[in-house]
Amino acid sequence: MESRVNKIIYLLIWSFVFQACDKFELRGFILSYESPDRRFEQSMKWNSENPYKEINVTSDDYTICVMADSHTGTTKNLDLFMEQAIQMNALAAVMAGDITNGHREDYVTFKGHLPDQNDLLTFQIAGNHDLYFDGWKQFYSLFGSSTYIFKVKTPVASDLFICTDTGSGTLGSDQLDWLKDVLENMRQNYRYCIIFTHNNLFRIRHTVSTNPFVEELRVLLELFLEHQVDMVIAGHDHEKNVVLFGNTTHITLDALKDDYKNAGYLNVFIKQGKIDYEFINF
Amino acid sequence: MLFSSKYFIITFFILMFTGNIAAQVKLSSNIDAGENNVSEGFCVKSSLWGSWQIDKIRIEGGTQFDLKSVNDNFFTAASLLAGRKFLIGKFQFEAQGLLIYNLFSEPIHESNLGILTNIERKHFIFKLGTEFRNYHITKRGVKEYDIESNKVIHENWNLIYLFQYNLKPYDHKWNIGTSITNIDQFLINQETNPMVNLKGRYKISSPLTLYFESWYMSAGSLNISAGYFGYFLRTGVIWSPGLIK
Repeated sequence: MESRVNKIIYLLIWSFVFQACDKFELRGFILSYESPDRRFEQSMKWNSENPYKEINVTSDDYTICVMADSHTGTTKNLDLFMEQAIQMNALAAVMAGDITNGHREDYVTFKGHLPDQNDLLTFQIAGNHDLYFDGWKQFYSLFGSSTYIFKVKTPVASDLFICTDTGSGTLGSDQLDWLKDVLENMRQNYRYCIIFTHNNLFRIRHTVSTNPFVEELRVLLELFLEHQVDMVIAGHDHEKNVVLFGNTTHITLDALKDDYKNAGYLNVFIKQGKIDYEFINF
Repeated sequence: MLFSSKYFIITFFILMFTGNIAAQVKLSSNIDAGENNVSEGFCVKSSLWGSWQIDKIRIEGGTQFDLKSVNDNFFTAASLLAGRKFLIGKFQFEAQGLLIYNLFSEPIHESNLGILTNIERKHFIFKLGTEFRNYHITKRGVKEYDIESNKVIHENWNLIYLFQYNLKPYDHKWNIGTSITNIDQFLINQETNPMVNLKGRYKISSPLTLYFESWYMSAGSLNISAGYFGYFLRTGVIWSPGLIK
């Protein structure tokens, strides 16, 4: 009996400690504040008022910098990332989720460290940490949609970039329908197709980080194979990984956050008509 | 993988047709109906199971058919399990080998090969094990999408677990139980994505038992701001005539 009481006390203490931590939130662990379908609906509303960006470039070659898991708070690596992206004259920077820990002040800090959009175009996606502490409302008010596309048009071809929201561990049925529609109706008009999302798809190494449900993964794998998706770039796992499946390269990014020992990001190059990538670590 | 599968099947048929040994035979059939984020509405699946137990050895095989789903195939999965009971001191358990093959689409299939320990007590069932999963592009997929390499992805040493509590002892006429697990008949989910269920069964007469299960699937847990993934209901019947020689 005494042992049982002790266990309950330990469990309660553990729960309170967990709850008090500023990076994790017990309620957010168990259930999203908004369902993925609700966030998708809001993203689509935002998209209808803010048309998808089409970036025209005069050169055939361009670079896109991609980072994830900056977990702002502190901004040393975030600033370095922006600085290097601007220095190398990147066309855009994509931030694939967990850009904050969900607190309002994190979002304000993050927004304050983004460069002028004339210097560097930036695209954000929500990750699970961005949703903690009711963070989606902050995300939506500052960045709007988390499900959208952008296009890059060069003198020789156009490329399609698809950003998706997997902050709740699933695309949700509505966003999945949208993704299918985009791939079925638009993919064939573009040379390369790259998908950005937060949750990495495969469980190549063992961590407590969560991957999509197996039945969802099966559907996505078939979609990516069928529509010749060139790259799927994700974060979430905090450790870089590259897996090739068919004609698709699945890339998981190192975390960008300041206290991570292998912090880094990814450069995606479109050069001489070919697609390539390079990991950069600080 | 094919090498291992071959020996699984050979062992299965040797034991199945060993005529002069008394075997405990069990046949069951069930229907699953539910919906999830990828099912595009309501989906219905059925499965057939056969189990032969001879002394301490048990062989079990099952097949799954999609009656209403977005899947290209009708025959969508097969499973084969071989188990042997052990007694070490007073500790009884069953070691199991498991093979699940999923034909979830024409161009991509999935296979799982696992080993696990099954511990059954008066009110509890625990399963713990590991499995090796691979997704591979089929010959049809290779041809259709012009794939030259990178046809397989391996996910190794995935944890398998089940913790089940039954209100009544296992052999009671009726029972209600609940479990948390990442394994079902033809699905082994990632260890971070547990499924919870509520189960009930009722022995109608000596060989026949009816059962009912209700499953809830979450898109994640712990470090994810988890969303709903899906649910399904299962009902089935077990025919267990006793010893057959």
